[in-house]
Amino acid sequence: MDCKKVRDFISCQYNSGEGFPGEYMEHIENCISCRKLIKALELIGGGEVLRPPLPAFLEQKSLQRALESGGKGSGVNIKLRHLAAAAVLLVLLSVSVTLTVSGALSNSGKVVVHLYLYAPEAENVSVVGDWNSWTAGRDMLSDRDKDGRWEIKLKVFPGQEYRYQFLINGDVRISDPNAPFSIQDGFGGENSVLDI
Amino acid sequence: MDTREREAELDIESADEVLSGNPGAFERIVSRYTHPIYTLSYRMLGNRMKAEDAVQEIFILIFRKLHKYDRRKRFYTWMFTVALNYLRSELRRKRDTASDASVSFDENLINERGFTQGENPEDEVIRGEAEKAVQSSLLVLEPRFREVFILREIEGLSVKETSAVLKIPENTVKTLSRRGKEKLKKILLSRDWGETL
Repeated sequence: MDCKKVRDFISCQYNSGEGFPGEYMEHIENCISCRKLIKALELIGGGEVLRPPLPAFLEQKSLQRALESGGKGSGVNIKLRHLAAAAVLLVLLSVSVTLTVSGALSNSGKVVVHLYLYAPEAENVSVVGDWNSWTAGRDMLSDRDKDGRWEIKLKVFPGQEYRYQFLINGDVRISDPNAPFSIQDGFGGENSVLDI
Repeated sequence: MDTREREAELDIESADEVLSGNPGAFERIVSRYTHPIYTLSYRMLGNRMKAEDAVQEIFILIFRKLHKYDRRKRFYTWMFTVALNYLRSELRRKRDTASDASVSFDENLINERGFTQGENPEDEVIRGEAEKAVQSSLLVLEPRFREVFILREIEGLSVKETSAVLKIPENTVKTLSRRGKEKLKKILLSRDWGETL
């Protein structure tokens, strides 16, 4: 018995899920090549195991991008454009409010910037950027209410442009979906831009 | 009412909520269908990163086109139609721009799957190799066979549902399904499995 005979048998008579005659079984049990082929034939007869594992955070990324997409034509999108505008305004207000607060911090000359990210399934979120030399774990966001909204207030010098990304679970880097500007990072991703 | 009908009702409720001004309801749709859409995208495109990008673009399209959804039809058949149209255009774009017309295959995907509890490592390796072979074989199958195979055998759609998604007669679905499996079997048999001859 050899692989060719097994293959000939499969080609002519075999249907997925059916067994093999005894004389074939001894060879198949000891032949990894034949077992791979038979498993592949079982897979095309089945299906569920062909569902690949879902990448981390794909749901959240898809939802965020869809909600932020704005768009043209539908009632949904008109409302969302308003929401998107409101979100940008919120970010700007957040910066301006914290700018006022920063008056008390005039000794340092820094302003306070409020960043947030909705990531309900994250275990931890940090932000890496120009102000912390892109050091992971230095500026951790917190989710005190456990509602999936992670926040941090940072003190940075005004009059500069800062680029940054969020780092989820110390592993996955994403740009800030709430940032008004972003720029290609040269590695296939995007850096958010904070211009204050 | 069976589970599928209940889910279909929930889909329509979610779509109506989104259209009536609660975009947050779109989360339920994304949550329910990210995995099926990712599976479809990965099996059609054969590349993990491209499939991830495709999923995000598809949900943007679904969100933008939601007002065009016809409630007399099942939501997920409409959604699969939107997804397939996008994936076809991606494949066309790729053919037009790439010097190599074939689709690529991300072999790393299989290696990301951890060992399943209770399975011995050798069985897991064999299954991983078999999955790679099926995926690469799917990618050389003509798109009309590939689409039917994915919808019927992986996504679990019925002949009627597949017919609705692809807008082709049910008998054609049955024929493409049967012939697609035969072709896949031939492709798998013609592979070099490193056998002893």
